[in-house]
Amino acid sequence: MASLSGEERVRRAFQASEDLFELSAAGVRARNPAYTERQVFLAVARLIHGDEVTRLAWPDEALVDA
Amino acid sequence: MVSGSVASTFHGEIRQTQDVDLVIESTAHPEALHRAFSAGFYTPPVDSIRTELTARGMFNVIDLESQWKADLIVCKDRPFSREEFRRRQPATLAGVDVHLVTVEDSILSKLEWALATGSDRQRRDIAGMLHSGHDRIDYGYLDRWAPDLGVQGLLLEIRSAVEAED
Repeated sequence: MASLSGEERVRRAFQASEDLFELSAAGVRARNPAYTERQVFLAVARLIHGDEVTRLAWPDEALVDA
Repeated sequence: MVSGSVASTFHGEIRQTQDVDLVIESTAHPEALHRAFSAGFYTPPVDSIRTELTARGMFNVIDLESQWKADLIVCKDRPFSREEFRRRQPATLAGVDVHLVTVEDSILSKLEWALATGSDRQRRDIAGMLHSGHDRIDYGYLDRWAPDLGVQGLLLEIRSAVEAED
């Protein structure tokens, strides 16, 4: 990993974050097969950012259990 | 200026993150900042941004589609923070031209965080930067600022551990 350029390391870190998001979404879908994609999105937001940030960012939508 | 875990990944070892830390000048205009993030982002009200700029605090913006969060941290009014900001370097991240904190200043900032929070993650980030960048780090600069920031003991401890591993 030390031989990678800084830009490549950041690219891989961003990709790892995107992968974690998708993995979290897949877990929510598996546990809650009746959820809409919007509910999955909001459940992942709550997992990643917590209740306070999720309420601030999406104030018109209810908190969704993951 | 990009700081935090994105900068430590650039200078050291890869770490997953959902946040991007951006250090901004206190002279930034709150209305302009609010406008810059108005479409597609959660942004605090202009008055909150103004308050944080005055207090040299911080606020968040969130991309409502991707859920990426940026912590906008107002540059502190102290010699180290002014020097850290002055020394920022150009870089390209994900195809975007940005300014990035230097490896030395990233290490010093994370030493402060590690000391304040006891965070193992910060210590690992510091070790990663010391390990990956050992041949291009200005150790004289680290040794000059570490006493001012009260982190010389922790710097010595982590540096010794990294050198023992290498």
